[in-house]
Amino acid sequence: MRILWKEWRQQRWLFWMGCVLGLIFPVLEGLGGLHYNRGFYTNSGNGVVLGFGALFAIILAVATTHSDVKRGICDFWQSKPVSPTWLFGVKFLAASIVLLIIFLLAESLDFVTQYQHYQRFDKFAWSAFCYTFPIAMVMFSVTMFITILTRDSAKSVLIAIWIALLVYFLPLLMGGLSWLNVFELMENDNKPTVVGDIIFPLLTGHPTRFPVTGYPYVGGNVPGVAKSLTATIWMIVSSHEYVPYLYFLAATAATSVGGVVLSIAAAKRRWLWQPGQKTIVWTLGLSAAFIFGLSMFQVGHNLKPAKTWNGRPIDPVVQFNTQAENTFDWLDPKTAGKMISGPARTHSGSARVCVDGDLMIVVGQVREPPTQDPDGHALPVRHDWFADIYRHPGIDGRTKHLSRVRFFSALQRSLAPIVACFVRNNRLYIAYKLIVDEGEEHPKVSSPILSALRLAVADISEPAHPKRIDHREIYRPASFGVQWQGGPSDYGNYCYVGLGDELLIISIADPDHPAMVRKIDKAHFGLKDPDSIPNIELNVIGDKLVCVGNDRIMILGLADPEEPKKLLWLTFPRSDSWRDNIQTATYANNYLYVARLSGIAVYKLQSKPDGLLSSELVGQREATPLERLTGRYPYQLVLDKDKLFEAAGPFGVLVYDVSNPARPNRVYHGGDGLDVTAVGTWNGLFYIANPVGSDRDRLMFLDVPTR
Amino acid sequence: MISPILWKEWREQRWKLAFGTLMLVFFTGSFLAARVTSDREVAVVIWVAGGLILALHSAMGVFAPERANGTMNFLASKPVEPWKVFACKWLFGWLNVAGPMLACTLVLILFRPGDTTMMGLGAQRVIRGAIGGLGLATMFYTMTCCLAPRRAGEAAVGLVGLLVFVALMLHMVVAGSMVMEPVYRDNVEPSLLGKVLLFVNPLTWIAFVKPFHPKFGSPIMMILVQIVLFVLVVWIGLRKWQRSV
Repeated sequence: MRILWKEWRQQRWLFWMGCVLGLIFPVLEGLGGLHYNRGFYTNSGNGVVLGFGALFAIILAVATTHSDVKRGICDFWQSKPVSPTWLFGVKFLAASIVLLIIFLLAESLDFVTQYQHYQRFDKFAWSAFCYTFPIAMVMFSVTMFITILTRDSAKSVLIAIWIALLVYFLPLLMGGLSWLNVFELMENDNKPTVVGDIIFPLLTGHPTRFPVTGYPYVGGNVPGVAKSLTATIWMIVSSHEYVPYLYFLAATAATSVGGVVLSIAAAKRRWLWQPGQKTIVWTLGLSAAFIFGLSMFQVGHNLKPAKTWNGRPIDPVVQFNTQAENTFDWLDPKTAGKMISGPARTHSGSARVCVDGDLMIVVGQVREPPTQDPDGHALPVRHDWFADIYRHPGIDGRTKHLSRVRFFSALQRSLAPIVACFVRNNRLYIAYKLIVDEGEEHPKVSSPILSALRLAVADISEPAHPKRIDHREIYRPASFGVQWQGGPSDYGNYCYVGLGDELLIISIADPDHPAMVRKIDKAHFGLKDPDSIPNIELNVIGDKLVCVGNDRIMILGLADPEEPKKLLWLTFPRSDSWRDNIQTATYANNYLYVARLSGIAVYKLQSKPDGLLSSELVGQREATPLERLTGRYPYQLVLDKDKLFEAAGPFGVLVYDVSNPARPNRVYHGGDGLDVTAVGTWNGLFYIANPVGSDRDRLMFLDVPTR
Repeated sequence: MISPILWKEWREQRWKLAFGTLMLVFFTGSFLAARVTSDREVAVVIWVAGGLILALHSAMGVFAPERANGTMNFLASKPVEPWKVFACKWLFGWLNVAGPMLACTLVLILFRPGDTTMMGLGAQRVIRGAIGGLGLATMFYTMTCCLAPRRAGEAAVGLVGLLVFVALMLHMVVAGSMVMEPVYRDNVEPSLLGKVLLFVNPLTWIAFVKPFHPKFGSPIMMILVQIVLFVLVVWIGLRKWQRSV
């Protein structure tokens, strides 16, 4: 008890200081909210804990240990007035209580105001506490040990900061340390928690997501018979989603205890280590530089913007959101197809890009600003569908926005995306899935709705003056809610659309009037419920149709385009991690390249005597922790010779060398901040693009070395 | 008699100059080569974050080691006025901050000479930013080493530095709300007192990197207020030093 009192005397000023510093930023934030009439709301407490938690633990350890090991006092402990085991054990215990209270206090306003404003539990703040507190305890015990070893507080702080640097940032570089990667663990933290899912609902009277005997149950991810409170808590803690956190907790707890044991041993045996400050600082600096250099190597860009084309200078950046030279409104006969003034707004909904020679066509949906009727009532928001035609930067080096066409408009809240666009023989085909009012071109919000596939056809032989040729509904499923996304993907005079349970074959033999020629049920391919035709992406590659789903890929042979033949049915074990969902895939030269959030996998496909294909996993490249953390999200894979280009979303574009498919090797990275959703080649220049979004709707040409 | 003191400081501090220069130039070069963000953002990170870290590290090693190592008596025995010793030590500590920052400025000018695009740098912006960054780092360095308790060790000086930084941030939040917000919201002229209240914070050197609202006028007043603050802080530090020796 006396030791505990001594520790309190030593730690109390830091305790009070920690409480004040932990609360001051949330309080100021809350007061700011009051000042702006937003109410007292804070969410900076978790930032304080995340940003300063480990640092505060280091300061606490040095401040409270240094006074026990300085000259004179250190010799005093050798007379054993108390056992060093008790001394440092109690110090660790007292610090754990101090840190626990300070962290929870700093986040308390986050919890309270989150509940006040939204009646919900602040999961992120709790997650910040759950991951920072164990690391803070590790840093406390390790710093305590170093302080005993060096008897020098400045050196101890420097070494401890260095260790904290390694704890936080080394897992970003080494995939094997993913169990310690706090950033990634927090980002993917969707595990149920005892506090958030049991204690919080019980305290506030909210129904729980878990069936607990005697408590209201709202239903959630664990259906079943109500269990006792203890059994429910055990069920949460022992669930597979909890396992990564348990690993993390076990590792940090073991390290903390190890630090305390070493501290006791060091005090008992009078271990002394006195490195020079220069040595420590150089070690710290050089290792930080090494880690930083490696990180930059992983996230840095080594693809430069293309500034010349055929020897002429060009502007490497094309803004989609520019005023078109000619605008047309095919919906308003009064203007004879010509718009008086054409809006130059960005595509706010889904959009697609296709290239034909020196033309690029971007098709997308624009949400008009809200309007009011004369009585001040809000009118339904109108959505417009536009096709924009651009000409490649030719002689003058600047891309031209030749024309913009409004080809459809609807008053609807829930509207369908553009499915695809492609050009064939000067005909532009635009397919879009529409939730339409039956029989009306301008549906009303309240009307009954159905899902339908529509196809618009335009003549773009004069791209500055595109002409409307046809606009028709191709297919309307019997039941609303049919899920389909993939296609149409064109092959010869046909294109294909996947509906999950059906495959549609559309003929464009009459280029001005496409028509559905066949609808193939999934049973035709030997698929029974719950299997369906993979349809998040349909790509015709060579004479094969690659149908990509979340956890399966089907390849159909198109030797007879109206009678596709199933060549391969590849299923992937459905794991618990959404990271293992397939995002996109491509096929070339008997290799199938599959992109998931977890990385790239390469399958070798071989023809069997019966004409079917067999597959074998031959190569893999795991995405690095930094790639995952910085938002790599594969949208599209394009293979060009021995280079595999991946539109990696917020991470830009990644280029892999697949000359040896067994070892896909990342060679280039580019993007310059562009959220890349499409990649390809336009008139011989490699481009990356994002036609969607308010501030990123642009295209950039990149120089890809040809080595 | 001041030459031996200068020589001693140079011998003691030169590794920090080399270390700081190497580190800051390395980080600047890596950032520029990686092209993960715009040049202007790189420069701001280097000037502000790099400058503050270097200032903290340098401040920890200026006066505190003399007390911790017991060399204070040695310095006191020299026939040199205490203020001269104080000035020498402050100067070499400051060089550890200024040297690396000037080297980085040179790197920025050399590697991105004519890029005056919206997010790029031009030589003029680089020089303005360097002045702002150096001003902020100088004030932070001076406040940390001069305001630390007389008998503080290196770690305690570091802690004082962190407290100074937190205090500056808090002051900025409060002054920003009281002085800056009405100017930006209502486009009104700030009062003289308001300006002084704002400009007393060394974080306002950032105005050289990103200029404040035109209503705040030219930076001359900010520089004047900062000079007054600097003299006051140095005077406090000198008083403490004179009492120590």
